[in-house]
Amino acid sequence: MLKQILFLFLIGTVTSIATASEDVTNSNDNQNIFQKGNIKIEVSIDESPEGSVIIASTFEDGKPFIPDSFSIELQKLGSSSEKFEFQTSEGVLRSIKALSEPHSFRATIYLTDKRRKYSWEWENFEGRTQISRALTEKFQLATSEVQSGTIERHIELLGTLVIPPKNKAEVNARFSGVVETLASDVGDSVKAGDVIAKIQSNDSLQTYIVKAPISGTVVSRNVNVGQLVTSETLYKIVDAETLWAELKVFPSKRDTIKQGSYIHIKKGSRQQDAKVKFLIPSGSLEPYQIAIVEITNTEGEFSPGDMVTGVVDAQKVDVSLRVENEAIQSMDGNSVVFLNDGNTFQAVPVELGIKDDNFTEVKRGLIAGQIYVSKNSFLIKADLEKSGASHAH
Amino acid sequence: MIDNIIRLSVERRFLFLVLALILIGIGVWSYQRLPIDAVPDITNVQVQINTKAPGYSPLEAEQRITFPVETALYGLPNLSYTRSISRYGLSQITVIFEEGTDIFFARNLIDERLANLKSVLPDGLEPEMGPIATGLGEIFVYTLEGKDGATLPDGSPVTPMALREVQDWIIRPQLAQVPGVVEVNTIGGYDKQYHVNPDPVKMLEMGVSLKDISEALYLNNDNAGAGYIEKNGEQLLVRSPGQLTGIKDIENVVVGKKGSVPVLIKDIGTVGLGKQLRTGAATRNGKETVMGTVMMLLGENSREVAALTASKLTEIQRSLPSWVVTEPAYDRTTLVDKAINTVQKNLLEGALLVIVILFLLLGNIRAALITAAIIPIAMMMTITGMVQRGVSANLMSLGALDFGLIVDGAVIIVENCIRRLSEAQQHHGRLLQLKERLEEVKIATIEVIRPSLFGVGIITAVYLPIFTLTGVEGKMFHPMAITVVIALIAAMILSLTVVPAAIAIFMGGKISEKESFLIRWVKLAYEPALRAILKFKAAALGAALAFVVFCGWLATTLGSEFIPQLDEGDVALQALRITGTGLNQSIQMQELLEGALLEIPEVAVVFAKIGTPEVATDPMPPNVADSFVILKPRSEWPDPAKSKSDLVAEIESVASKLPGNNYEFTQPIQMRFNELISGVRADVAVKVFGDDLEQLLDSANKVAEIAESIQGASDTRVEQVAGLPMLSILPKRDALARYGLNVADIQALVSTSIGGKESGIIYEGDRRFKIVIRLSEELRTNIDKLESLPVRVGNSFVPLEEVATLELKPAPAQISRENGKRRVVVTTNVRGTDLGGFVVDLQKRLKSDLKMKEGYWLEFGGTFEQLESASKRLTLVVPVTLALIVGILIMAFGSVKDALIIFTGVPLALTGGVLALWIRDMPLSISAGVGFIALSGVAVLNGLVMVAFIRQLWQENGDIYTSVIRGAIIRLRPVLMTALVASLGFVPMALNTGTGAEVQRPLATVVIGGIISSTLLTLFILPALYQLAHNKRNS
Repeated sequence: MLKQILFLFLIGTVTSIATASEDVTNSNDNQNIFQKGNIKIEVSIDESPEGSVIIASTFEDGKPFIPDSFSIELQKLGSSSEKFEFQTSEGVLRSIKALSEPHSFRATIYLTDKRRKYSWEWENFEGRTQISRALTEKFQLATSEVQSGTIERHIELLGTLVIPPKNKAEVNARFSGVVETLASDVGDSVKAGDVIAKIQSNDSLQTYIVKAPISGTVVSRNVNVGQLVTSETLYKIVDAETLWAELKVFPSKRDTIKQGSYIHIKKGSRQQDAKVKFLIPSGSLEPYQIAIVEITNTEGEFSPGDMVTGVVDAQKVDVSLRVENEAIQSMDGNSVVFLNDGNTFQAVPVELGIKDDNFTEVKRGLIAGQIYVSKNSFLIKADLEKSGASHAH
Repeated sequence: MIDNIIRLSVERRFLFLVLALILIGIGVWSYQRLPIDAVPDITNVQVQINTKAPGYSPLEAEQRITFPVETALYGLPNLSYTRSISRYGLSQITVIFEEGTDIFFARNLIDERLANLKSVLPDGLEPEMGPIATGLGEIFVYTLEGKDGATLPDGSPVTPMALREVQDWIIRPQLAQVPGVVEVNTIGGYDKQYHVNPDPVKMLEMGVSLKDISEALYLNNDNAGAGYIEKNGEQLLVRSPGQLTGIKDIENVVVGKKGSVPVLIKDIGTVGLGKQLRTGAATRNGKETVMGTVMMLLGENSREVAALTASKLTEIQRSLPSWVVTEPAYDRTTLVDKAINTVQKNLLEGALLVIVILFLLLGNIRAALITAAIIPIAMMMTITGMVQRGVSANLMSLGALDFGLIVDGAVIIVENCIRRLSEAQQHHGRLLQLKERLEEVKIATIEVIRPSLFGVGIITAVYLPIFTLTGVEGKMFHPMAITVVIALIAAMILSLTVVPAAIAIFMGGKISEKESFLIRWVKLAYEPALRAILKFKAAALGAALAFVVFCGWLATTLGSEFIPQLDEGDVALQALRITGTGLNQSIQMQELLEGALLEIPEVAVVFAKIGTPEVATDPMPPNVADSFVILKPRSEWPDPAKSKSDLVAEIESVASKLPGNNYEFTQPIQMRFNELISGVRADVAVKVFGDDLEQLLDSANKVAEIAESIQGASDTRVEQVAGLPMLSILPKRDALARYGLNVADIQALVSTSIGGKESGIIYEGDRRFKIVIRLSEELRTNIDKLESLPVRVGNSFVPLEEVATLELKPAPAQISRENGKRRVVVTTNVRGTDLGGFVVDLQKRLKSDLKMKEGYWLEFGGTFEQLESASKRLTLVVPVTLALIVGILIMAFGSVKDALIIFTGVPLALTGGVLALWIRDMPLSISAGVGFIALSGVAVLNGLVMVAFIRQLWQENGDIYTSVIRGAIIRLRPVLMTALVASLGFVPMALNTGTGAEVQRPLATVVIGGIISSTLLTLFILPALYQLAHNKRNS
C-alpha cells in the first residue's frame, strides 16, 4: 500500500510537471489570418532577395476566390502611408510594388466584393520597441533629423619641414687667400648683396669682397679672420622665411591629393593653410610620392626638421542624406539607423556611402526629415536584441 | 540485552544521570565547533584554474592556455570531468572531482601538474587556482565611497582610482588576516597606473621607438645593492638608489638623442596617472563604486567569519583617510541569524507545547518535565553527532527536527511507568518502597520498550531512501536525514537509559491515578464510538479504503516542485545585455536600473558586480551584471505581509521597463551555487562536440530546429558563443615585405599602442603601481586615427593602413569546452508532454535527420538525467525499505498478519498529509516527501503500540472483542499523547512565515495532517481490522 502511495507520489510529481504547461499556438509569425463574416484572408510577406512582396489569399466560405478589389494601405514609422495594389497570379494576390525593408508597419487591408466593403487592421512589427520619454531622457538619448549636407573627408599626411633648396646658400671664397674681415656672425640676418667678408687673394694679393648670395640668416661661420682659406665654406646662409613641407603620400592616399590641393599644415597648435606645390616621386625608389607644400615662416614658428601633419580636404561632397556617425549600429550584419516617433523606435536597415569624422552618407533606407537617434543609439540595439542576451557559466 | 540495559540504568540511576550531564557538556562544547549556515552547501568538489591573459582574444586564450592546461590535467585520480571557458583575457578551467574527494588532496594534484606546465604556456602567464571556498563562500560584501563633499588631499574630487588604492593597500591586507577569510576579491574602480602617452608624430621626429621608451624605463628604474665595506671598524652597506618616484621622474627619463641633445620622455609625450583596461566594475545605489567581497574558507563558520569581518571593517575605518567611508552591502550574518532564529523559535515553541501537552495528558508535572528533559539532552547529542559527521547546522538540517516526534518513545515509556506505578500504589494502598518502585519502573519500561524501539527503528529506516539521492538533491537532503537519524538514535538511547533512571529517581512520591479531565472525557466518548465502529466494521473499512483512494487521486492533482527554494530574504537578479556591450555602457545601464529599483519602498540597498572581478571566481563578460537587491526588514515594509514572490514580481515589472536589459531572478547564494555547479538547468540538453566553431554552431542550430519541431519543446536555446564585435588588424604580408617589416613589428606596435605595455613599477612604500606605455585615449579609441598610425621603418615611417588591414566583424565571444573538447549546448524545456518520451523522440529524430560531420558528436544531458536516475534508484530503494519495515514488524510480532495490519496505518496516515497539503494549497515537494516519510514512521509506531497491547491482552484473556476494546482504551492515552506531541510540536513550523519557512511548512503541514488522520485511524480502523483479521481464528 505504501508502495502504491509512493508511486502515486512519483506519478503525481511527473504528471504535475507535465500539466503545468502553457498552451502552445502553432501559428506562423509570417502569416496572418483575418476573417469577417464568410470572408477570410491570409496575408503573408514573401521574402526574396530581389524584393519582398505581400501575398494575400482570399477565401469565401472557405473556398479561394478573387475579390473585386483588394488593396493595402501601409504606414511605416516616420514615413507617409503607401498604398499597395495587387494583381492575381497563380490564384493568389501579389502586390505589384515591392515591400521595402524594414517589414515593420501598421496597415489597413481593404477588400471590396459584391459591393460590400471590408477592412482589417494589420500590424506587423519587427525591430520596433517602445521606450518612455522619461527613460530616454535618463539615458541621454538624442535625436536628429535626416538631412542633406556635406561630407568632408580629411586626409592626414605626415612629413618633415625642409628648407627649400633655393633658400640655402653656402658661401665660399673664390680665390684662396687670407680672411681680412668677416662682417657677419652666426645669427645675423643678411640681405642678398650685403658684403659679408673680405679676403686677400693669394694670387693677386688683392682684397676682394664676398657678398651674400641670398637674403637669410647666417647659420654657420666656419672661418676666422686671418685664416687661410682655400675651398672651405665661409658661411652657411639659410632663408627660413619660407619652408617646404615634404609630405609622404602613400599609395592608398594617392588618389586624394594632387598638385594645387588645399592643405592645412599643422605642428602642435600652429597651423597654416597652403597649397600643394608639387607632387614628386620619391627619389630613392620608396613606394610613396612626396607632396611639397610651401609655407611661410616669417615669425619663425616652424623650424626645419619639424615633423608636421598635413590635413588635406580630400573630398567635400554634398550628399542628399546624411546621419551622424554615432547613429549607426550593426544588427545581424547590416548597418541600421533607429527612427524615432514619440516613444516608438524602429530599426531601419540602411545602405551607407562615404563618411567623414562626423557624418555618414545614407544611400538608401531613409528619407529626409525622418527623426533618428543620433546619440546613445546602442541602447535601442540593446533593447531590440535583449531577448537573446544570456549568460552561461 | 535491552532488559539488562534497562535494569542497569534503573539500578545505577544516578550514574546515568551524571552521564546525561556529561553528554550535555560534550554537546555544549561541540556547539562551539558546529558550522552554522543558512542553507546546506551543495557545491561539488571542484577546483577552478584561472589564467589571466591580458589582451588575449577568446580564440587565443583557448589555444594557448586552456588547451595545454586541460591536457595536463588528463588522468588525475578521482577526476569526474573538466569544463572550461575561454574569454577575452581569461581562461578558466573548472575541474570537478568525484564526490568525497578531499579538496586539499585535489588541489595538491593540480598544483603539481600546473608546476610542470610553466614551460608550455606563453611567458608571463600564470595559471592560478581559485580560492578554497564553496558556493557559501561569499559571506560579506562592502563598498567604498567618498564622503559627502570630501575631496582628496590635493583638493580634487574623490575618484574611483583613489578608492581602489585605499581598498588594495589599506583594507584588503587587513581583512585578509581575519581568521576564516580565504580571499578578499576586489571589483570596481581602477588600478592606479602611471601612463606614458607618447605622441607618434613626436616620436618620429625625435627618432624614438616605443621599444626605446620601454627599455629606457627599465634601465632607469632600479636600485642596486653593492655589498658592504668596512671603514674604521664599521660596516657600511653600499647601495645605489635609482628608482623612479613619480610623474616628474618619469618625464625626465632619457629615451634617445637628437643630434647632441638628449630626448626626454616629456619631449615625446605626456606622463600622468591613467586607468587600467579593467574587466569589471561595481555599482551601488546607482553610483559607481569599489567593492570588496570577502570569501570564507571552506568549512568555516560563516556567521562567525562574517561577524569578525564586519567588526574588523569598523576597526579599519578608523585608520582610513578622512575622505573615504566603507559601507557593508551584504552580510551573511543577517541571513544566518534569521535562519537560526526561525529554527530556535520553532524548537522552543515546539518544546513548550510538548511540555504543556504532557502535563495536561499525564496530569503529572514531574513526568512531563522528565519527558521534556529529553529534548535538550537529545539536542546536545544531535549537535555532537552533527559535528562528528561534519554536518552544518542550517535550515535544512535543523528544519526537519521535531522534538515531539523524537520524544515519542520516551512518552510511551513515561506514560506506562506512571500508569503502572499508580496502579501499584493503588494495589498496595501505600507509597511504594524503593525496591518495589524500581521493579515497577523496570517492568513498565520493558513492557513498552520493544514497540517503542521498533518504532524508532522504523522511523529511522524510512529515512533510508533519502540517503540514496545523489547530486544536488542529495547534498540538500542528506544533512536533514543525517540530523534526524542522529536525533532519533539519541532519543532512543536516552529512552533506554536516562528515562527509566530519571523516573526511578524522581517519581518517588504519591502518584495520583487521577487521569486528567481531558483523557477522561475523551475516553467517555471513545468507547461507544469504538464499539459502534466494531459493529459496522465493513462499512468503516470500506469508507477508509475509499478515503485512501480519494486522497491518492487528490495527490495527483497537487502541483509539484523538486527542490524547495530557500528564501534568503534578498533578491539577486542577473542583468543581461547583448554580447559586445561595453563596460561603461553596461555601468550606465546598471546605474539607471539601480535607480529604478531603489524607488521600490521595500528595497534597502542595490549593488552590482559587472564583468569579472580581480580574482576571476565568476568570470562574466562586461555585458552581464550580478545585481543584489537587499531588502529592508519586513517590519519596515509598507505592507509587512506582502509575500516575497509578489515583491519579486514587482521588482521584475519595474526592471523590465528599462530598455536593453534581460533578467534572470535568483537569490544571492542560489546564484553563486548556479555559477559554481553550472549544471545545465534545462530539462534536456544536447551537447554538440567538435572542432570548428562555425560547424559546431551550425550543427547546434540544426539540433535546435529539430528539437523545436518536436511536440512539447519550449524555450529552446542555443548557447550564446558568437557575436563579440572585434577589430582585427591583419598584417599585409607583401606590403610588410616591401618595407622590410616583420609581422611581429606590427603586432608589437598595435598591442603597445592600444593595449599598453607594462614597463616597470613605481614603488610608494608598500604600494606598487605599474608604469604603462600606451597611446592617449583620444588616439587609441579612434579607429580612423589608428589607420594612419605611423609604423617606423628605419628612419622613415609608413602608415599602419599601408601594411595592415583593419577589419571590424563579430568573433566568438566565448569558447566553452567540456572534457577537453569544444562544445555548444542546445537546451530545451519540455512542457505538456512526457519528458522521457520527448527525449526518445528527440534522439530518434536527431539520428535520422541530423547528419554530423566526422569528428562531431552529440551527448545528452539535463535534469531529465537526474530525474531518471533518481526515480530509478527510488523504485529500487523504496520497496526495499518497505520490505525492511515489514521485516522489522514481523520480527516484533512473529506474525505476518499483525505486521501487515500495522502496515495499513501507513496509507491511512498519508491520506491526512495529502489532505492537509491540498487544504493549504501547497505543492508536493521533497520537503513534503520527508514529511510523509516521518509520518509513516509515526503511524507504524502508533499501530505497533496498539497492536502489541491488544495482542498481549488477548493472549491473557482469550477474548478478542474485549481485548480489542480494553487494549484500545488503555492505549488511548499514549496514542493521543504521541500524536498530539508530535503534531503540536510541528505547529509553530507549519504557521511560520520567517526565513526558512518554505522548507519547513510543507513538512510540518504533512505531519500534522497525517497524524490527525493516522490517530483517528489507529484508534478506530486498526482495532476493527485487527478484530476482523483474527475473528476466524477466534471463532
